[in-house]
Amino acid sequence: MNLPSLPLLDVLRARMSWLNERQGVLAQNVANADTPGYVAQDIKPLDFAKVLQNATSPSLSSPGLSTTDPHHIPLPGTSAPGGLNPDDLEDSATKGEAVSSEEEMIKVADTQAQYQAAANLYSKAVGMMRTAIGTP
Amino acid sequence: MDLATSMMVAASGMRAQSTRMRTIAENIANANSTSNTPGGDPYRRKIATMTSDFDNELNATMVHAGTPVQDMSDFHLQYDPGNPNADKQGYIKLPNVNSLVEIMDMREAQKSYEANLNVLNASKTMMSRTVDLLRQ
Repeated sequence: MNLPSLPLLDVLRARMSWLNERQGVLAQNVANADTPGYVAQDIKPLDFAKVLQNATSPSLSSPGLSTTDPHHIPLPGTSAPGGLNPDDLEDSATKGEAVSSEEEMIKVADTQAQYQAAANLYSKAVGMMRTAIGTP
Repeated sequence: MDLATSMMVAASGMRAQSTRMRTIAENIANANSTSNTPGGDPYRRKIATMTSDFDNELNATMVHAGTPVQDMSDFHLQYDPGNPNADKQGYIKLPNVNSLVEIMDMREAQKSYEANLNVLNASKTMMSRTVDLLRQ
């Protein structure tokens, strides 16, 4: 059992990488706020059930096949490689909305706070493990 | 898309807004610049333009300031026969710059710049939280 395969850390890592992606999309929105015709985008909320399933179901092939390219077919129980899938993006084109700076600022602040929460939880989990190991 | 990319996107937004600010500064500075030949055209107002383009290397939508276009609206005429650059009827052409419009534009550029700065700060904080995980 290696460290990253601990379910808790795995869930937190998925959460942090999702927040990472979202921050990137929000940065694009803010940067292009004054570009004519640009439509604000956001990414789909993290599917907790899927993340939990990925984290808790023991991987069948324990060493795992790494999927380093989006075209690789991931094995069941392994998550797709990092990076944004085009179908994860949803834009507010249906609502026909341009970028609202205030809304984006709230989303950025929210993403930042949630990232801090995840980072704190991560360090707590590592701290608990350290307590169990017995190093001061 | 990692946090460094978010910061790059935010920086591209800030750069575009600074270029816009420069165009506005030129307009305000030249608000009273007349032609130096009798009856000639004075300073013509410039309009800042912005375009978004997809950066393949960063895999993100960046924003770039385009070349400013000239505002082709009419010049203001002022009756000033004593001016050496007035035409035969005694009128002098003044630039088509409206200070109020420029001030509003400036505020908007400032607001957008601050929004980008906020995203940059949020991304930076998120990054330093991640680095903090290593520190304990």
